[in-house]
Amino acid sequence: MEGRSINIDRSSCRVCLTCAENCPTGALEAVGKEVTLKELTDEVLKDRILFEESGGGATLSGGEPLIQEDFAAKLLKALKANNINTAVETGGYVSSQVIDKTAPWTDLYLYDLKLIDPHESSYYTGYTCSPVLNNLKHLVKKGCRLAVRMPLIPGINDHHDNIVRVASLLQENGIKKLELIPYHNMAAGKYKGLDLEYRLPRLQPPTEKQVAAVKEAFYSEGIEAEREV
Amino acid sequence: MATKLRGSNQRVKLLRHESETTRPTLSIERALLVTETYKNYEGQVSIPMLRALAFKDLMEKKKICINEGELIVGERGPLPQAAPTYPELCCHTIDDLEVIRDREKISFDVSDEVMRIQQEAIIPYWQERSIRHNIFKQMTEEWHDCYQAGIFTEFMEQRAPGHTVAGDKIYYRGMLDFKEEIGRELEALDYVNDAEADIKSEQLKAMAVCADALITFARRHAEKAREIASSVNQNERREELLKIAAICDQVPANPPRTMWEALQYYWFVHLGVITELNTWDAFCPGRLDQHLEPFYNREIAEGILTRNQAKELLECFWVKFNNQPAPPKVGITLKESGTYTDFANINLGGVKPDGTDGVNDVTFLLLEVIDEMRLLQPSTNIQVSKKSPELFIKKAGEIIREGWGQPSVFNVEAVIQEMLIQGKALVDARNGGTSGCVETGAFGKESYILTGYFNLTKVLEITLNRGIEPQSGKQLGPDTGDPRNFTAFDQLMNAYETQLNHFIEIKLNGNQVIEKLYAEKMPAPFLSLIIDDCIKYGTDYNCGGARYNTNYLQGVGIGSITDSLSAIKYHIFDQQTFSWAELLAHLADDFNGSEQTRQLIIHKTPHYGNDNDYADSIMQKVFHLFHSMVDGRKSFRGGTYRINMLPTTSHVYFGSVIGATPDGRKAGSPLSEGISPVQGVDINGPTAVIKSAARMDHLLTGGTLLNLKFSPQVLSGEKGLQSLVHLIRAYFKMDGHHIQFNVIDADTLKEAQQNPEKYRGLIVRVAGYSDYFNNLSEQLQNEIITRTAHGIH
Repeated sequence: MEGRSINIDRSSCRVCLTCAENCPTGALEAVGKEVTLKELTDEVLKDRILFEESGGGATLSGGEPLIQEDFAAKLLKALKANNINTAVETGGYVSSQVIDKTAPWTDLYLYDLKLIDPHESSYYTGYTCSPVLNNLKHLVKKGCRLAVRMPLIPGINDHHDNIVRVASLLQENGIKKLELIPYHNMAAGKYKGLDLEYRLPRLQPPTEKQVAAVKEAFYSEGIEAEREV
Repeated sequence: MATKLRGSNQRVKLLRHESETTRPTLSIERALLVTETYKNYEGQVSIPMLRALAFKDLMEKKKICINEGELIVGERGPLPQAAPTYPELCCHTIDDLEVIRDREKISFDVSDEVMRIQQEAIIPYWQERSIRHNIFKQMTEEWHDCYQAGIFTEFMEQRAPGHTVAGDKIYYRGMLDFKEEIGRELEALDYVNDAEADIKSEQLKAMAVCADALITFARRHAEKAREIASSVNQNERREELLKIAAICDQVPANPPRTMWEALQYYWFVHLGVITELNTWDAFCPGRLDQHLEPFYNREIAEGILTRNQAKELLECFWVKFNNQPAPPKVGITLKESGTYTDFANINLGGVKPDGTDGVNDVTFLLLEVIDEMRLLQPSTNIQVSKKSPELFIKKAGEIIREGWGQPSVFNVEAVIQEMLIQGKALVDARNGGTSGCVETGAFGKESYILTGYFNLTKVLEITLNRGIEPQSGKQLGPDTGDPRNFTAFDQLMNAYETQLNHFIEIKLNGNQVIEKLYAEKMPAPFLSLIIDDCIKYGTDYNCGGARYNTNYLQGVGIGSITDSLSAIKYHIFDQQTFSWAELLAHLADDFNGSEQTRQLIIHKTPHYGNDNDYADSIMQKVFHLFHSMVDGRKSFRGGTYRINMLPTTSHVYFGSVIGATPDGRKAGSPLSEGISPVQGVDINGPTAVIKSAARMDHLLTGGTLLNLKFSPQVLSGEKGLQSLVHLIRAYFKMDGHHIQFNVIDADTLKEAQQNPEKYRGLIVRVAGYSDYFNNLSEQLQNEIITRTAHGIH
């Protein structure tokens, strides 16, 4: 500690988290913890009374929850056994076997689509998008319930070409609706807390006008795009 | 300015504006009239008759006031916002009046003339006769020590028992009918076999005098209306005044025939109750939508009333409540209830006597009125049952999310079960509801008086100090041993139980004396006319004449004591983070120099309000101790003791008398309010809060109060409304009694605190009632800011 701020030498940190355990004010905190299947299932079941009232349920979210495919599948199965609605939020960059593993116990996939062009995709996300596109088809073929969502990132994926290609991909798969999630910079604080560089410091969320224009563009391609509620 | 006035039309806008902008004043009129009656009759007539004659003099002589443009007439004082005093209950000293005049919050204009009259005519007669004087004189030294220490408060020391609500009988029977009933009961008195026949006769005769007095009061309004009509140039207003006169001729002597008459009748009854004595929670029409529906439906069907006219009448009715500030309080009573609000709390929805859904057209009309008027008074709540249509909850939700604290939300099934457990008839339970802050009652048939707040956390402080109150150094409780020697958590709980029992005994013993004092010296013959079965039994309301008599003791600070006990159990016994000696030293020093330990306790202890068994099971233990010591005990007038869990503003006062507590709370800070978690420790969201709160057995109480605060965005849109409905339904499924919502963000409140002038109209939910943020003490303002702003996920 120096003065009124906390400095951590990340290069010597072994992530033992003793500092967080001993921090009396909770200024240092461990985000995330290891849990057993039973612990996590019980935690979700605490809200059962509200789920039964609202028709809501549990959504596995991330990061990418399907990276922990076995645990995710077991958790989904345990939740279904308790009559809890389940959803999985995924970017789809997994093998189709992973999808097959979770599908029997997943009521809904919240499926993120960002970019269609392979070059753009690998430039911005670091990977090719072909598994993402294949898995979309795979899910449709299997008859899984899907809600496709597109993070709307100004200057990156809101150009006409991407919109047209996303729209035609959806059409090909018989999907008529798309949810738009306008980019926001609320994660900047998290990056700071982790001493990581936030690489889009100047990118502003899209304006209402920009969102409306994208909606309009999708509409002329036959896709009903709605802003996330 | 004119564009911003609220109200459905120009008439209401002006009335409402007048009501909001008139400064409360103190009126000496009532004190003078009552003093005159007592001087004339005291010792020559029975006490019930003396009280009736005082009421008669008030009704015959007090100034009649009809405000410009109003449709419902009658004020408690000589003018709107003029509060009378009740020297027979509390005879203010000149110092009191100066404090009332000069204090920053909840002040009243007190003229020099009033000061002079108080000094010359009121104080000499009443200072040793007032109930307050006699209560303090008759209480034991032990009681006084505990009272001064802030272990409990005393509701009846300057206001009378009331805590009741009107039922439906005034909508089909007039005062003349009640007189006839009294006549029959008088004839039926058996002077040979009934030792109490003489007393009953006096009480019945007193009630009859009061029935006549209220009729006279109405006739005087009729005369006044005709007098004004004769000098009014405007045709329309002249017609209205003549109509008002005709209505005042009809009611309350006879049953009402129209909605307008029904409202006017209720209003005269309301004024009667709150003029006779300074009853707690003023008075209340209760299930207003149920009572008005038959009139409304018939008149709408016959085409003699439009929906807009009905709305205008209701808005005029609303203004009348707001014109009556709660009479000035002083001392500890002000601290436990620091507000102009007088707690009339109108119920909407609920179920009908046959158990079917009670929501009707008038319910929705009333919701519109609430929204349009946005007044402090009357308070309003919705009674939600499994049968309530979703639209009803959503319409109320739209008002709730506007963020001014009304309406609050009650669980009909829980409220009915609470009453059945207390032994009430099913139909009386269905006709009942909740009043004051959150109190369950059988409307029109029950006297359910709150006797005082009880400081559950203070008793822990005393337990930790071997029965000694650290602030005064007095040994107030038994020596239950040095905690340093406690080797198991249960030993502490046993010591706490012994202390709790000791202080509850002192409080209840005091209550008995006070209740007897009211029964003998301060009967309420007018209120007795209105509440069943006082006429039938020939017994006054304050002597146990109501069909059901309940006495409440209100537990305060359940969150704070739970977290304190949890910190001890977790850190001393389970984790051995620190020792007893260390903790006691930190508490004695108010954690000075041990901020690290304090932070550790705050951040690393299982807290109530997080759906966590560790803490919640401690809450259950404390709740059951308190419940088992109070519930079922008998009172002097034949009532039964029950508990409820609500604070009004006493959690701030109770916190101010306690040093640092083991939960990391600094000396003097507020306690947790109602059954809400300690401010700021509920970090797992609203569902965790409702689940923790529902681990309390609400059905064993007569009311609990849970406050959740949301920032406005959380509840926006259709989705936000849906979430609100789901949260309410889920809590009620778990038998939660009541939930209320503060919809405002902390920054807005901080800004309001800095720039009060910009936020004069800002209303927040305090605890069972709403108040202007500016009217709250700085401490209470801070406390509301601290309450977590939740986000529904």
